[in-house]
Amino acid sequence: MTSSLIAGSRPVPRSEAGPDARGQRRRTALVGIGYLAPALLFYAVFLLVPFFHSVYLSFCSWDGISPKRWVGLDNYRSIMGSAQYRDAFAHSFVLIGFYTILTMAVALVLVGFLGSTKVRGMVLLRAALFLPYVITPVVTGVAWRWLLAPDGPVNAVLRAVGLDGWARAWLGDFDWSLPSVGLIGTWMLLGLALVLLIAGVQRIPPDLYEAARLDGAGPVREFLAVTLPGVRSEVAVVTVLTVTAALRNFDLIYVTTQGGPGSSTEVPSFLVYQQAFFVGDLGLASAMGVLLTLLILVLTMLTLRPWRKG
Amino acid sequence: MKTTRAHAVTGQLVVTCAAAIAVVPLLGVLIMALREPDTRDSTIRLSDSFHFSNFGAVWGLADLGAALASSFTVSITATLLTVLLSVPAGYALAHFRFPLRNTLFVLLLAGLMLPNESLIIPLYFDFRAVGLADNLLGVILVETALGLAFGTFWMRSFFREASPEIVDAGRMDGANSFVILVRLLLPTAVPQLLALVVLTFVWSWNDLLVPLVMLSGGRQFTAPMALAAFQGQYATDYAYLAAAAILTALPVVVVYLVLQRSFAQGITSGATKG
Amino acid sequence: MPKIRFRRHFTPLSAALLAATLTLAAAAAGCSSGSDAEKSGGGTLVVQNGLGGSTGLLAIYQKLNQQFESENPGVKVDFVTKSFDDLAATSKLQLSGSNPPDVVQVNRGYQALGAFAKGGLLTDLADYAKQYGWETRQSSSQLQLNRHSKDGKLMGDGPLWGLDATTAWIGLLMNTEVATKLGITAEPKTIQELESQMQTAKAAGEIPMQFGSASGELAAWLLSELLLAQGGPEAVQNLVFHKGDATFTSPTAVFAATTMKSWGDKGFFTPDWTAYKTDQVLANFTSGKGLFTLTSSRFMPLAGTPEETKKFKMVFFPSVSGQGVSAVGAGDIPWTIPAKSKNKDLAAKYIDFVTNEKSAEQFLAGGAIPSKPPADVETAITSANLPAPSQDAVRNGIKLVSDGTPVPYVDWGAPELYPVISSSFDKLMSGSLSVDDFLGQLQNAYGPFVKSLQEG
Repeated sequence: MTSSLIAGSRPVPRSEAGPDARGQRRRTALVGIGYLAPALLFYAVFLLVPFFHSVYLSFCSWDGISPKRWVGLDNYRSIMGSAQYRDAFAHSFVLIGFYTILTMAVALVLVGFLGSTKVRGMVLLRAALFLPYVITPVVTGVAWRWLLAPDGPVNAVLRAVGLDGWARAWLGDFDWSLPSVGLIGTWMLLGLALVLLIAGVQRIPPDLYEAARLDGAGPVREFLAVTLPGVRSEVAVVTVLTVTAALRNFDLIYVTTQGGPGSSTEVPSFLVYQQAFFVGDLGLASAMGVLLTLLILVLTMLTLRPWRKG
Repeated sequence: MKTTRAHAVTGQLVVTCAAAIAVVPLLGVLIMALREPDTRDSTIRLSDSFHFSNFGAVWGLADLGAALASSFTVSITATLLTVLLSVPAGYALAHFRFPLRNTLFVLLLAGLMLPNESLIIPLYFDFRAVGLADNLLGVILVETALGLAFGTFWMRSFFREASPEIVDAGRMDGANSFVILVRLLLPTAVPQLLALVVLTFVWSWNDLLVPLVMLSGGRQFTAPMALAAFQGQYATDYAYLAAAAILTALPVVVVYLVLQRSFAQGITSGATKG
Repeated sequence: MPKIRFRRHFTPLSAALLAATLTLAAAAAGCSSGSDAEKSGGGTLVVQNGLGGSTGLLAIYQKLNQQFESENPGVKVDFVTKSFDDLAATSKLQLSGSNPPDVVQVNRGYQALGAFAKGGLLTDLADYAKQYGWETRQSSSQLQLNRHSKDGKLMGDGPLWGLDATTAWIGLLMNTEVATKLGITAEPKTIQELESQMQTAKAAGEIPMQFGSASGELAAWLLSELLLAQGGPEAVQNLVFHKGDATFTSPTAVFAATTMKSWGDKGFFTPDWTAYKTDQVLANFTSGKGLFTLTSSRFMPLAGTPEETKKFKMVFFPSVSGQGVSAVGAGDIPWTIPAKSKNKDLAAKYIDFVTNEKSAEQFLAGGAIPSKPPADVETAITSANLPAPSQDAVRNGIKLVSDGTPVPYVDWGAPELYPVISSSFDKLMSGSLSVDDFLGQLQNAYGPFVKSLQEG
C-alpha cells in the first residue's frame, strides 16, 4: 500500500490546463475549506482566542484582580534566567524518554504479538491493559506511592530475591524519583498506545501478511516488514500524544511527588500551575505556558520528521 | 495461517504478563477501597473485614449521582461534537488542496500542546464575559475544542492512508466528495472512529482542571471534582477516595468494553478486494 | 471496474445528530437551572467552605447549620463544600464574579486575603464587628491575622475582613509508652531536653522523631517552631508582618537551619523521610513506632479507640529558654463576606452564630478548638468525653490562645516561601545546599517581595 496520497484527485479524464481546470481547482479548494471550516472556527473561537489572550498576558504582570501592568519581556527574562525553570525543562526530557520511547517500544512489541497471533482471552487482556489509562491519576498515584514506598511491595520483592541493595525510597530518592515517575507514566500510557496501534493494525490487509509468509518470513520479519510500516501514521499519533502527555503531566506529579524531593521532579506544567493558582501572577504563568507550548511544538515537529512519508 | 507453537505461547505469556502489571496497582486501589474509612493510612493492607459499604457511603457523601450526570452530559456531547467536526476536517486536510493547508494543520495540532494550566484562568474570564462560565455548556465547548485538536489529526491520518482506489472508483461513478466521504470512506473508518470516541470520552471524563475552573462559581461539578470531597488539607480519606474513584471510573470502563469489541475486531474487508 | 459496496450510512449519522441535539438541549436546560439555584436571596444563604476532607468539622457545621435555620425560620443554609486546595485555587474566580456565595472561607496570605482586600472583593466587617461585639469576643492577636491593609501591603494591620470559628496549633505528639520504656518521664521543656531525649531514643533503636517531607508542611512547621524556639514570638511575627527589617539570614534563622540539619545528620528523623507524606507520618507514628512527631491539633481525633490512643500526648514544642507559652498556631481559614454578596446582613448573622459561645461548645464537643473558648473550659472538656490526645490538644490550644502567644506560620511571609521552603529543605538535609545557601534561597523568595510591597 503506497502512501502516495494526492490531495484532490487522481487524474480524471479532463484537461488539466485552461480556465476550466482552474475553476475546478478553485471549487475543490472551496469545498475543502468548507469541510474544514466548522472545526476550525470552533477551535479558533474556544481555544485559539484564549491562547492569544494568554500570549498577550505573558507580557504583563497580573494577579487576576487589579489592572494589568505591562512588563514587556521581563517575565520571559526571569524564566530563562531561572535555574529552576531550566531544570524543569531538563526533567521533561527525561520523562519523554519514558513516556514516549519506552511506551512506544513496549507497545510495538505487544502489538507485534497481538496483531498477528491468536491470543486467548483477548477481550479481557485488552481491557486490563487499557484500565490504567482510564482511572484518574489522583488515585493511581496513591496506589503507586504505596507500591514504591520504602516498606512497600516493590522493595519487599527486591529484598525477597536478594537484591537488597536495590531497595530504596523510590519516590523520595533524589536520583530515582524522576525515573520512577517516568515508569508510572509508561504504565499509564501503554493502554492508550495500544488502543491506537491496534486500530491501525486492523487496517493492514491480510494479503500483505499472506505474502510475507509465502516468502518465508518468520514473525519478526513479518513485524518489521508488514506491521511496522502499516502503523506508521498511528505511531506518529502516539508519539505526539505521549510527548504532550510527558509535558502536561501536572496531575501525576502533584499526587506523587509534588516536585520533590528537593526539586528533582519539578516539571514545567507543575511550575505553571503553582504560579497560576497559588502564587498568583497570571502574567508570569502565561509566559511559562507560552514557552512550554513552543517547546512541545518544536519537539513534536522534530520527532514527527522521521515518520513523515517520503 | 500457521504460526509456530513457540510464537503463540510467547505471545500469550508476554501479553498476560503485561496485563498483570497493568492490573496489580489497580487491585491495590480496590483493596484500599474496601478498607476501614478515615484511618489516614495510605498503605494498602488487607483488612479483616471488607467494607463494601464504603461504596454506598461515598455515593451520598460526594453526591456522585449529580457528578456522574454532569460528567455524562459533558462527555457525551463533547465526544459527539468532536467526531462530527473532526471527520470532515480530517477529510479536508487529507484530500483537498487549498492555501495554508499545512499551516492550518499545524495550528490545529498545536491545540494538543497548549498548557491548560496557564490558559484556563484567562479563558474563564473570557467565557464569563459572554455568559459561558459556571455552566456545563462552557465546559463542553472547551472539551470539544481540545478534542478537535486530536480528532482532526487522527482522522487526517486515516484519510491520508485511505485507499485511493475507492476514491477513484467513486469519482468514476460521478460521486461528489460528500458521497465519497460518507458512503465509501467512513465505512472503512469504523475502528478509527470508535478509537476516537473512546479517547475523547476518556479525556473529557477524566479532565479535572477545566471543569474545576469553569464551574468554580457555580454549583455543578463533574466526577473528578467529586473526589475532592475526600481530600483534606493535610490528610486524605484513602478508603473513601479509592471507592469513589472506582465508581467514577466505571462508566468509562464500560464505554471502552462496549466499543473495543467493535473496533478491535477483524479487518473490515471489502472495498479493496476485487 | 471494481465493484463498490454502497452502505447505508444516513441512519447512524442522523441518529448521532439527534443525540447531539438532545444532549445539547439537556445541557442548556441544566445550565439555566444550575444558575438559578445559585442565586441567593429570599431565604437561602449560600455558604462556601474549604473543609472538604475534614469529616469531623463538617459534621459539626451540619449541626450548627440546622440550629441556625431553626433560629431563623425561613432561612435555608446552602453549605457548599470544596477541598482546601480547590477553594484556594478558585477563590479569586468566585469572588470576582457577579454572583458569589454569601459567606466564603478564604485562605490567608498576601496573595489570597491580601489580594482580595486590595481588589475590593471583600466586605469590611468593622460595622458588623461593632454590632455584634466581635472585637471583645476574640483577642487582638487572633483578630490581627484577619486584618489586611486596603492597599494589600500590610498583613495584620487595617480593616477586619473575616472571622475564624476554630483554631489550630502545632505541637509535638509524644508516645508515653515508648518514653517510659526509655526512662523518660516528662515531656521536654527545652530544646536541649528534646535533643537529649531524642538521643536516648536513637541509642535504644527507636525512631526519635517521625517525620516526612514528601508534602512540604512538616518542613515549614519545623522551621517556624525552631525560629520561635530561639527568637521568641517576634522572630516569626516580624518575618510574617514585614516588620523590623526581618530577614532569613539572621542568627535566629541560622540556628533554626543548623538545628534541622543536625537533627537529620544525627539520625533523629525517620529513615527515608523524603518518601513520606504528612498523613503517612502520622499513621506511622500512631502504629506505635517513634517517640515524637510534629503534629497539628487538626489531626485530632487520632485513629483508634480511646484505649489505644491514651498513650499519645500532645505537648508544646519546647523553646531554647523553656520560658513562656508560645507555639505556631492560627485560626482556621476565616469566614468572610464577599463585596458582591446579596445577603450581607444575614451573612454577618451567620458568622456571628458560628463564632459565638454556644457554637464554641459544640466545636469543643466535636474535638475542635473554638476560637472563642467557652467560659468554663475544664467542664466543657470533661463533658465532651474526648479521648486523651484530643483533650491535650484542646486544653493546650486554649491555653495558648488565652495565656500564651500564638504565632503565624512563617511561610505566610511571602507567596513563594512555601514552595521554596519545601524544595530547599530536602536539599539542605541531603547536603546539596549549605545552611547559608539554604537561608539565601529563602531570603531570595522573601526579600524582593517585601521590597516590592514597600515600594510598589
